Amino acid sequence: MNAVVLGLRFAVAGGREGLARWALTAFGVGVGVALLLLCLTGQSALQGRADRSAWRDSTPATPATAPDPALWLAVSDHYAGEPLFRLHVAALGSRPPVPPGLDRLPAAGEVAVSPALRRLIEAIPRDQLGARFPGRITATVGPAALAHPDQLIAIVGHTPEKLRELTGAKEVRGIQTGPPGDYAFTAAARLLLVFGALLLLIPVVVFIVMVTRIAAIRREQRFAVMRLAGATRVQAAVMAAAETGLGAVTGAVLGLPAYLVARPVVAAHLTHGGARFFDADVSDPPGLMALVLAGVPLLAMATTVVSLQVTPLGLGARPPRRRPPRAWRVLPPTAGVAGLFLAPALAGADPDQPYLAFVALIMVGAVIAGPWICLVAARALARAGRAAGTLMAARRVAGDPRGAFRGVSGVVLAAFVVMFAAGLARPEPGGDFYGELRAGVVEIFVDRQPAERLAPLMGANTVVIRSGGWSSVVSCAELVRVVNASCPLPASVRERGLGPYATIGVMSARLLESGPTGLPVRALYVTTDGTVAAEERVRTRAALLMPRAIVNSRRDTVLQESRLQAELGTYARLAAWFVTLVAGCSLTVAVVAGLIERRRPFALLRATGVRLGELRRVVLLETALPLAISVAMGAVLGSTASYAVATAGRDPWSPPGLDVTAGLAGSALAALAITMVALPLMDLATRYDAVRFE
Amino acid sequence: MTTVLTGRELRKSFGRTQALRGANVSVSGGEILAVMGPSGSGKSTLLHCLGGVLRPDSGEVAFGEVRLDRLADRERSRLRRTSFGFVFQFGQLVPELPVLENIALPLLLEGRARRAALAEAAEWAARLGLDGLWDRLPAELSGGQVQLAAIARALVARPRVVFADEPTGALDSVAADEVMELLVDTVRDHDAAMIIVTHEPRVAAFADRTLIVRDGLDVQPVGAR
Repeated sequence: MNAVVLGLRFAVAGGREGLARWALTAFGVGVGVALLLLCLTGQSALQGRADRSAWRDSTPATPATAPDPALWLAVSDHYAGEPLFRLHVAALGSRPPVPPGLDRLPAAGEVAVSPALRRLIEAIPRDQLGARFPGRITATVGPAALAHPDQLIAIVGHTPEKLRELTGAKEVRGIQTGPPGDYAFTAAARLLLVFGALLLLIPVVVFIVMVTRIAAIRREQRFAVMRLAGATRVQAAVMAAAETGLGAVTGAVLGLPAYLVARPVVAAHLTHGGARFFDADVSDPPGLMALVLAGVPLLAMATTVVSLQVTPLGLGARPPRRRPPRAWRVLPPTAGVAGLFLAPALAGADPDQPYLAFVALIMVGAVIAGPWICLVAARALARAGRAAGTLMAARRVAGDPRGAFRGVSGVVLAAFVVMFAAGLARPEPGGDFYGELRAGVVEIFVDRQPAERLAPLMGANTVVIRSGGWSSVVSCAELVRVVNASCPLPASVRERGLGPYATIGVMSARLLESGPTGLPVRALYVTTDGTVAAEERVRTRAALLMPRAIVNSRRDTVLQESRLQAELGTYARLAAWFVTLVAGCSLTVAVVAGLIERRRPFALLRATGVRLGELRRVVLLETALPLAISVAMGAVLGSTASYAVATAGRDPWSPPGLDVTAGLAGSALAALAITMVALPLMDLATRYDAVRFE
Repeated sequence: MTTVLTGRELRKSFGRTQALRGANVSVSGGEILAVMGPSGSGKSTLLHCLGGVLRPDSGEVAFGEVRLDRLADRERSRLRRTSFGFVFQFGQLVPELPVLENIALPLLLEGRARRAALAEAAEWAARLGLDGLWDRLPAELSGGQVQLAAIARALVARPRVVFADEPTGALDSVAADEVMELLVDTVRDHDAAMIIVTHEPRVAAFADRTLIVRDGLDVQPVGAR
């Protein structure tokens, strides 16, 4: 019988404790596998979007993929804030390059649209959308050309003569397959995804470590016996790994179907850039799946082996108690926060670099400082607490602050990320910020367009900004009709411009006393009643008159920005809830392990008259103290860091809202509530028979 | 009689506590040596150093020609498997394994075929009166039966030295005498040496020689049987 078989025997013959270890290891690994697979699908999902979007970036420099060329004019448009890609094409031969998702290039008078755009065109009055695409809809753009199912794409066919009239149309001979543009999936994004996945995996690993601590004393005694009977360290490690391995493999087997079930749910509900994913995109390549299915159980086994420190004498031969953590541990997070405040002075070629480094230092530092803060808090509680239960709990945390903090180390990071993201979020997306376009104003860049083409857009509702070389020229009275500002503009604004919320058209505005005349028109600003219909009518008219004009409204940026904020907030909150709930499971396991370990002393206390409720309070306090410290520490550091970053960029900052704080507190309370499921065990574990020594 | 195990000038500290301060001891083949002393005198540490469980800070432990204090952990593990046997007071059996497999453990760890190992273990179980208890788990045995199973396991690999640390500490006096008689008889039958750490004179009375350890130093033998 080799060590592997013996390890498997221990796994199946360990009684209730062994079964609990098996089940909990399987649970931890299952969650880890499913989670990691889902996180890694982000890679293929975003890569899929990027690959399918590459064709949009075709240029004259793209290698030829067809015998004949085509004229090609790509325009970025919007509808109600949603990005809309409009492509005007004209074949210059019988075999022009054809974008993916189409059988042939639309001929003059023909239009191909994506399914989502087709639905919109059918539902919206023509003067608000459909009229932008002159011609008859003859084809549907297939999924091969769509980044996501809701993407708005129109490919409008023209005659070459007609399209040549539009300045900017280029001759294209091939369809781009990479590198992509708008949906480029950068190495940084890839790294961020992997980093995020690993960060989420940390609490799962901590959970597995906690699981191995169930009945740890008995388990270590058993391995000590094995060592005494002649098992080598390697044999003991193999046994421990095999014992964990059974649960880990079970977990991997369960994690795979959990991932498969969660996959379509994620595809349908989780959005990125405001868009859902194609089902097929949310899937890992088989090689990667195999790697995760093998890797997570191996990680669990490795974790067990690393945490196994058994000598032939077992626990009796343990090294003396470790020195308590020291105060220097607060230096890394403090240095990180100080660094963020000093970052503007340190910024070099890459202005983001120092910020990223200091944020990383704060996160790592928070985990380093946690045990010391637990120690200080527990000692303070022990000094201040009057009840015996408080004293017992505080002394236990103070006795092993590293162990107390281990289970909640992920929570401090989760709390940091949530508060940091909330603090950096623009207080109110779409609020009236200085220099921003007023609500309902549509900005149309019309460079070098003849005046007669602009005439239909002119009127009392239109402000004209003219081109004076590099800057735009306008009178103050006209300017403040379309941007959030009032006359006279302060001297600082005259010197430095309207600020970060101004659009490019007005950012470098040079003010004249009265409206300038005679200069070429750079942009038109059409004021509307602010409804979607009114704004889109203006856009449609502009698109018909000048198909390549760039048209903006505040709605476009507000929608994108609020959507990005909402998504980041959702991701952060989902991660925080996940991390905190897994931490709750870890704490529960720690409570169970602690109960088993202290079964006899607790039973003796109970036998000598200590009430069961008092013992429950001890356990609850031991759990709540490090959890509360983690949440508070993460929240304070996250808020401070976001304040430092926001003020460095002269952005407005306001403390994270009540909803964010309440959400964080709620997740912590939920974690604490999870641990309560272990409290009924207290009665069973501390009954009179536990005081017998035979 | 030939000396099989010798410890010279053994020193061992745990932090600031000096458990052994130059202890000397030797045991010959077939000899039973009792090591006595007050609590904290270092007698268990001495046993653990002699048995290759602990490595002394200084001094030497010689098993025949082999210097235990110079062996790597892997080699000391092999010696514990093949040449030494251990009987302790508590927690000696693996709770998940039935009696027979517990007894066969050193043979199984050595890589002996399962059937052969269990057959040999069965012989020892029978010799120590554990017939009919083969399939029982340790939790289903009495304290005396657990000690007998531990003795069988200590002897199954036919060790040359048996180390016993308070082997009857958890037993009442009747059971303790029975266990000691079986242990001593079996060791003598097998011509092995045995070192027993105990604080009970009635256990020490089973030994050929008694060594008193005080403050980490050996004291001259107090008598021979």
